Amino acid sequence: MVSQSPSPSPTAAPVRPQAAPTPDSPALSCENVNFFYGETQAIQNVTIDVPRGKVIAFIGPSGCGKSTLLRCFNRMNDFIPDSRLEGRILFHGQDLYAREVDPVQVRRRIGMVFQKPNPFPKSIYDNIAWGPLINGLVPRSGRRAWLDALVERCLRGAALWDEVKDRLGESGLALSGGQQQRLCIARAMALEPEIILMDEPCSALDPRSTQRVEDLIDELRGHYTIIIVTHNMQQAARVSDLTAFYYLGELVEYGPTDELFQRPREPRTEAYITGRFG
Amino acid sequence: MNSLAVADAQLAARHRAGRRFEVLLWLMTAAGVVMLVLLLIQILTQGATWVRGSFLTGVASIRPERAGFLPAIVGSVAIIAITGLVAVPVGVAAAVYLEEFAPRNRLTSIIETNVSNLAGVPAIVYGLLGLALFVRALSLGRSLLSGALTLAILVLPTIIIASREAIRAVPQSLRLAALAVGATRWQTTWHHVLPAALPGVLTSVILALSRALGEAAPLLVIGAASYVPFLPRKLSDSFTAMPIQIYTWSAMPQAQFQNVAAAGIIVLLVVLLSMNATAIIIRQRAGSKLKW
Repeated sequence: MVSQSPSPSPTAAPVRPQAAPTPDSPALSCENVNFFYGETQAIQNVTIDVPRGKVIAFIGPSGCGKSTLLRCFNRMNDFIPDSRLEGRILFHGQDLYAREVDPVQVRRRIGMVFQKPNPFPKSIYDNIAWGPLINGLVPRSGRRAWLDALVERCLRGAALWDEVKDRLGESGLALSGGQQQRLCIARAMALEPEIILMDEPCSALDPRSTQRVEDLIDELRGHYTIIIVTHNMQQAARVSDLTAFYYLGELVEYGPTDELFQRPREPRTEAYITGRFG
Repeated sequence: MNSLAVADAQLAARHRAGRRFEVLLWLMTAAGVVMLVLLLIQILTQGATWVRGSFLTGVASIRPERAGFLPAIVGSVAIIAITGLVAVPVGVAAAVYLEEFAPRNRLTSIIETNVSNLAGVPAIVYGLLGLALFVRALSLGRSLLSGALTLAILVLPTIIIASREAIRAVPQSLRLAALAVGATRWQTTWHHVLPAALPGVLTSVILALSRALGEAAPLLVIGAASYVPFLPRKLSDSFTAMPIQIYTWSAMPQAQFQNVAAAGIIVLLVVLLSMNATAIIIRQRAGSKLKW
């Protein structure tokens, strides 16, 4: 279970909400998003609403733009020279790419888990604590107790606590690949983001570790909005509520996972999920 | 003869050619080592008995048996310390800027090309620059400070280039991990990139400083003294350095000064080799701790 802390982020101002969030309003919505690497267009006019608290899978063959789109959601593509985004990505009614938006704040509120587990070469404890510390979220008095509680909560939330509670001082790199990836998920959770982006989080893991991460995603359902890019269609079918199929930068089909896998509307979706290409 | 038999015959010839080249390569490798060993033997036989207490603690003298190396040792240590204090922060900061912050544009590439070219400029040219800039324009005189600043400029490109390599070797995934939890670029650099690059940066710093320690030409140009019968006390004092003193002795008419020069070379080599050994230890110790 994921318990929420009483007052996690006293100093964190929201990204200027322009529309009050309602339970039904989407966690994130894209309006006519195009993305270019130099002259190459990687995303073609994608419009998609991501509902709150659900697990959404992005599937499609390599190079279809699904990872690129994911990285647009927390402005990770800002670091790619000559890249350019058109259209709007709305978060709480605010365009994430508006001039006044600070990408650092976006990344604090929209967390990310990478393809290859990348814990910091620090202790397990510090892997969790560093994010809140540098973001100024830790209260001045009782820092240690606050951080201890946070570390335990996040590690429990990531189903890792029982495995590491006696060795929080050990390097995060000393863990197995699957444990490292769950540590990375715990690290993302430490900032209490509203959305967690996962870019093929299991592609570097063995089946057993994959199983544990999938179980974890299932537990996080409802507490976070999770967008997961995966090459593994069985995984998409197992963990997600909604699936979006991309092909050559276009959003081909988007709908409830069961329907998309059982009764795809588009011939291209059917061809892909039945293994005729990709 | 069928083609397989031809191939077998050729195979033997191919192996023989391979062995011939192996021997050749071994000889080339040995040539370098042999030269170094011969040099060391020559220096050691000539100077070893001259490295004694009075040599290490004495000051310059016109009589070879009373000549001392201490002003040169102190001068070199002081110069290298100041050179390091000036060149390391500037060089590492420049490397961090170029790797982590600089926009990819024309100005940056001009700066990068310049830095690379500066690394290839002969040391004596830096001596001329130091003479014009520090000794004359800034009126620092033929002082310890002028010498140290000149050497700082000399090693700056080396430190920048090698530090950039070390920073570039830090995996991108580490930067992304930090940025993804809402770190700024500076927080990412300070907390993660620099600590990870530190062993490489330190190695580059020590190698650059050992190069500075062995330089005589730029110091001669800016006017290091050849006869310093006292120890430098302040930055504006005139000075000498180990390579300068060795050069001076080797040019003396009395044959015995050749042995004094050899003794000086032994001391210089000991200092240089211990600096290089420090670099290796730092690299290995840090390398075993950080793995991705």
